[in-house]
Amino acid sequence: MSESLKILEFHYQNRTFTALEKHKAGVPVIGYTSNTVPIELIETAGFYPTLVDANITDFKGSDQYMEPVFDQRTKSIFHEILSGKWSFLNTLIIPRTSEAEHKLYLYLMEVKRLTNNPNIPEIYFFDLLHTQNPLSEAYGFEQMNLLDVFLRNQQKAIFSKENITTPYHLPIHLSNQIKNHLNQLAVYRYQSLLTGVEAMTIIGAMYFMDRKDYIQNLEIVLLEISVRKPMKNSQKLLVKGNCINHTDFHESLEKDGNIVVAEDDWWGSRAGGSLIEISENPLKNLFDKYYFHSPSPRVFPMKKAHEWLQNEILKGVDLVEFYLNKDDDVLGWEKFWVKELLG
Amino acid sequence: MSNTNEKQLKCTIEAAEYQKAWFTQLRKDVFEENKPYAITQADMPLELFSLMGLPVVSNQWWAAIISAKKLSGYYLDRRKEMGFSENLCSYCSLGLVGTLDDKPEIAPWGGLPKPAIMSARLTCDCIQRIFEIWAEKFGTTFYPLDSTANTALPPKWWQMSRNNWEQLFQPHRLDFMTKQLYGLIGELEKITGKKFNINELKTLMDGVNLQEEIFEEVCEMIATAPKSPVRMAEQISNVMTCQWHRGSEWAINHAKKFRDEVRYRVENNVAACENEQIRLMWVGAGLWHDTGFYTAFEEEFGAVFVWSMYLAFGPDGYIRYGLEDPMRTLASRIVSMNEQLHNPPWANEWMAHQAQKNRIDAAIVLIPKGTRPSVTGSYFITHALEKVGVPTIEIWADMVDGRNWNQQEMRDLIEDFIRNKVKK
Repeated sequence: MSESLKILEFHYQNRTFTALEKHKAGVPVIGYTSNTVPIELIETAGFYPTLVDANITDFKGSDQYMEPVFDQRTKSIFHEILSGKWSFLNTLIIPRTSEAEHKLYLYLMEVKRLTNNPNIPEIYFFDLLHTQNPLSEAYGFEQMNLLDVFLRNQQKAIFSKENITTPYHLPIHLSNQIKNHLNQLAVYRYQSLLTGVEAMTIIGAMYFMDRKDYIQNLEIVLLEISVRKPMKNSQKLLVKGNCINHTDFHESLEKDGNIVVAEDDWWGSRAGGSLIEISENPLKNLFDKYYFHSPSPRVFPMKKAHEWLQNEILKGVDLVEFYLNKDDDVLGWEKFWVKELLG
Repeated sequence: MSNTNEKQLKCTIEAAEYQKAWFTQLRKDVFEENKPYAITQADMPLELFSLMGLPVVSNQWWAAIISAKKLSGYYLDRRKEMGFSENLCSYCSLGLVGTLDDKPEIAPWGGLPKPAIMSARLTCDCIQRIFEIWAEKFGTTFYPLDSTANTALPPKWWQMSRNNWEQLFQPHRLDFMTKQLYGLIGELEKITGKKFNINELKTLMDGVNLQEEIFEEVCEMIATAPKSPVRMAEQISNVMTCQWHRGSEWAINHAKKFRDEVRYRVENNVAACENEQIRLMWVGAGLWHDTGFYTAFEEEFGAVFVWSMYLAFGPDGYIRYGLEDPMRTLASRIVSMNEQLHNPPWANEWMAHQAQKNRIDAAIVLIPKGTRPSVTGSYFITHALEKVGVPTIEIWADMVDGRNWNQQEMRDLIEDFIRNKVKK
């Protein structure tokens, strides 16, 4: 394994490492819980954005508040926030990517109200809707503007004597560079140059690293992958279902020689995709990307939600595998359409 | 000891007969006259459908009917056979499975005919999937209302919801919901060919307020009478039949009949259970597959279910004063219904308040694993009730799926709870 791949793997596994380093160095850190928060706005305001993620199984203490039917990731995040692991965050931004996140917001606010738990940071709820219609679009753009105002106010409160403002286009440019590289990685996956486990690690590290460091390492890793010989494999699989913040499922699928070439998931293939336009109105450009192109269980109608999948299966996928949490009550319904899509 | 199965109020029988006749007429109108109707979630603005002359079958009401007819087990087994997993929501999907199953000879009253429109608020993430599959099967339109989140959460919402609803539910959310309602009206106009009239909405909204004010009188009588004059199951039958037709002349008149019968019983010291010793609160949706549960503890313990959300939520959840813009007022009624009933801080604070007001001695909290939106917030509710001195027991069971419900075990569980935890 190359040094750069080791670095990406380290950050994929040590998810608070960079955020804590930044915090210790005096850089204020803002956490967010999923893919529909425009991290470019956080960077523009001078904060370090980090994905808040956790994957634990012992919920003692927090299980008095959160019922066991929540998915493991949501329960884990809730538990770790209450227990203080994320108390260094300046702010936690929770978007409405899923209803579970809306509930996470309400539960955290309620524990804070009832107990004054000092571990819970300031929380901002980003109410970006995902129904695709002009009303939701207008509402969402208003929410995007409000988030920007909130971050600017946070910026003023923290950096009163410094001018740390970054022009909007720099973080957007960085995002586009990363997306270009991830799109190249996606091509390599179909050429069987890397496993799904490797791909998940390489992509997932992005959420837990300084993005400039991430690009440097990603570029080296891509070069290394590009000269590999294709692996022999029996079937090319695409994974659909709940979001996957680990590699266990991919390992189980690939142990018999199959290869996972794509995921309908922001932890996997959907982290790349179309680039963000750069114009005189960067907020609108960001909004367009996050509103029209982000995967979310709340995207409606289903035809829109399945556009990506419909295109992807044309690339040579042999089988679609469903990943469903044991308590899933949402994505299981989609088997109905996927069967139809696949004929 | 009175027969616990008998209906003690004449109006309860009338309500059941009315609703059954209404549905029979609906089927006749749809099949024989080709008239349109709608299927919607219960938390939708039924007022608009009513005004536009489009009858509505509520998905939750239909699920309750399926369950009461002991058909939920059949449909949930069929769902599994169709390839769907066990964990998917049961309450919201029974009607869908009935349609996919397509056996009128098995479905209650011949099953649901094709609706002209289906509509739902997108609260839980499963709703859009259920309704989209359902609409596709019927070959009809699904019109969703998206659901925004309240970020100002004053705990005692019921003190603000009648007069200060603009502030409580946040202006930007009301703007959004109002626009969505106008969009829905556009669809309803296309279906019915009728022109929407805002003045008619105002009149209807006045009617809903009147109906809920009448229910409030009933709430006060139940809360203050020495013994509850009406069993909980009869409260639900009367209230919900009115709510499905809320604001209509029939609903207002029926609410009055209900109130008058309850008043007569209070004035004449007629109790639902003469032996009332313990006042129980039921937290959650109705246990539709075993409604006998609600009277099972009267004889031995004098333990009477006196409270469920169905009656109490009428006045606190529906009354809105200030009808200058009736569409905005209507938006305020539905925009946070889910948060009020199921999410912290609103659900827990309200339940604790209601428990104290109704002199509740113990509460039974239904946590239906198969209906996720009704699970969330349950622990906060339990904590809040315990905090105000109400012993609480949680039952992990489903309101419509009776397959894993062991009647005797559950009765034993509650009997132990009453013996050991409830003091009187």
